[in-house]
Amino acid sequence: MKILVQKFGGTSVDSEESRSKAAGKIVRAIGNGWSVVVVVSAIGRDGAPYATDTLVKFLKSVDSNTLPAAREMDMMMACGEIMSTVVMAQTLRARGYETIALTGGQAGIATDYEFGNARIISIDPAYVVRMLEVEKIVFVAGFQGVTEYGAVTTLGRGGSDTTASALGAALKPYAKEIAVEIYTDVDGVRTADPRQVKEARRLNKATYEEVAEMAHLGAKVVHPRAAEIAHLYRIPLWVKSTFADAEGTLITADEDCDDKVQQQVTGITHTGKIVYLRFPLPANGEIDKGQVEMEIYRILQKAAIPLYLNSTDGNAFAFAVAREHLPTLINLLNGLAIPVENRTNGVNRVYLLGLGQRNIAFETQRILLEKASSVLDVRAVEAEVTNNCTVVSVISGRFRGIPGVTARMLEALARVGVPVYQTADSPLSVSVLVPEEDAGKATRALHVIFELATEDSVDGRT
Amino acid sequence: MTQGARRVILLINPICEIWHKVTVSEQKLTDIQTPIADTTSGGRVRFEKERGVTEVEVVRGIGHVTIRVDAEQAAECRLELLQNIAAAAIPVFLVKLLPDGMSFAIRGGDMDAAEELLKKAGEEFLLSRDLAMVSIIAGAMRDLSGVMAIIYETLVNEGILVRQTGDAYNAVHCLVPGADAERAARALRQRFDLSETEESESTADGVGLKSL
Repeated sequence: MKILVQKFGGTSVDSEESRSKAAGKIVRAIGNGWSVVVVVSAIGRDGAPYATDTLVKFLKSVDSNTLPAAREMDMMMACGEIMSTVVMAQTLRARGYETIALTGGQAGIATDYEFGNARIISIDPAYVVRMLEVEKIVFVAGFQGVTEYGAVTTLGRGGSDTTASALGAALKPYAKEIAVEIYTDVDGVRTADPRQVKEARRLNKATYEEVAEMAHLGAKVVHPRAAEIAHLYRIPLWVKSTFADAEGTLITADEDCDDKVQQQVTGITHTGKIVYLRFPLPANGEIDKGQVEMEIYRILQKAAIPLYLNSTDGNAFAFAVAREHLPTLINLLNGLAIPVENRTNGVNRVYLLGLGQRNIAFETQRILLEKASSVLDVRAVEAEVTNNCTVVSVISGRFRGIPGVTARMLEALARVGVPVYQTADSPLSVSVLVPEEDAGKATRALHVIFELATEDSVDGRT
Repeated sequence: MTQGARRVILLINPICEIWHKVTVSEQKLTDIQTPIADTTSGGRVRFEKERGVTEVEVVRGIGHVTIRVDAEQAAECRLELLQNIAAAAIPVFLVKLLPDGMSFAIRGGDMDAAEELLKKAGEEFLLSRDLAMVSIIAGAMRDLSGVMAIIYETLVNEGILVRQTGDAYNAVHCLVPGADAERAARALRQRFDLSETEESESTADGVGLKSL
């Protein structure tokens, strides 16, 4: 049995015309000899009557002062996928096909208890396999599973992609050939967001790692969890358009891409509304820096604020946070006094933090601490706050083949007058922190310098 | 529900009174190439990366270079430096921009070439040898909060100086003195409740760190 898992996103099922296009893809696959499992997202996006956000708003409208229980919230959120699954099954049934619609739990998807962001622990695909064996098209509600005791859970962001990829992995042992197709409103993975770079091209092939990295760094084509599962179990993953007949992008293993593909830049992404903070300590502050950093990180931990783009240098350190956290951060850190015990000379120091502006908290603390200046060495730390930043990243499966990526990036950005506040790198990407207003300009400049619009010089993937 | 060889541990951080959930698998998920059948549960398979920190890796034999330039012309100087380094095909990583310069890490085998290049260029620089990169790996690091606090608590308490830090979506990297790397990794493994098998160690020249 050849098994094909096809996943259709919300925009692929939100109208009769869209559902007809999706049905056409299913029928074509059956015609090509596949046994088909269809994973469906909720119908439409926010504002649509059965979209997940609409259902959540409906539940919250019962009493705006009482938050729904997480367990019940998941039950509500799972309804959108269940409805669209039944509707899609009926769409194919009306065309004369044998169908069955299953919830995530009925399809054997078991998760942990993290309501709203559950992880798949196991899948028992026996019932899905039995239905495929009797030649039914199996429709499975995406984005959901059940706990050990049957509570409905949802899988969080990218949940339906994750469902499709995981079902592909679970069904692999039962298939002589397996593939997963993610249908969306774009025709595959592109070298950049076409809304920013009109020359952005569709890639014919990309590796699992590249696509996961692109997704983590802002590309909105396939969720990284889905790519990671496909990678783990070596499932061919296609990204295709419901509304076009283009071949799409095949996401596959490194060894299945030729050397030329592996050595070149894959694409440019950008993500995040970010604030960058740098804390220069006064002279000789480096001996206390570790303790000051530790205390600030502890406070961020208590406030559950993730931080990234960390760097440290001599007597300064820096990090970025999402802009939405800045008001909380100012409340927490402005005027904060961090005592540091000096074990060598017995003089105790206090580092007094100010964030961009000296407010009442800072000034009050300073005046109070000055009174203890005979026994305390009080040192003001005025953090430099760079607001309105974003991260633009260059993705490549193998940077080793193209030395000087950072240099080329800085060169391109300098040429178009985009300042770079900081850089970060991982084995698959180099990122630059730039003003948010320059995100489009930066993306286009990088797209040009890495010649991503030129077929021959880029990757041989067109 | 079957957990197989997996166990879930709830840790309480005595300082912050915040619960951390750390899941530990005795089999690395990266080792799994095909779905694992569990005969006790009717052919079920296990999926997905663990939540939280899953591994601590050590790469030895790393150098760190800090270069100071005229702050007024920092952007131009940094670009010229990086272009020269790229022209010499010296791989660099953990590149950080400073208001008056830049810093980066290099593999042990490239240190002499880098030193020569910087001397020839007349740069004011500091090259630290014999460092190690301790990497704390998590499935989705940027969705987690508190990892940096735990790392710093652990390393500061051990008296280990962090020379540089970096992060990606799945890792936080700390550059520490090579002599402290084993102690740092052991302390971090204990702090994140990882078993011995979750550590891996290699040398920078052996793992082919990328050039940027």
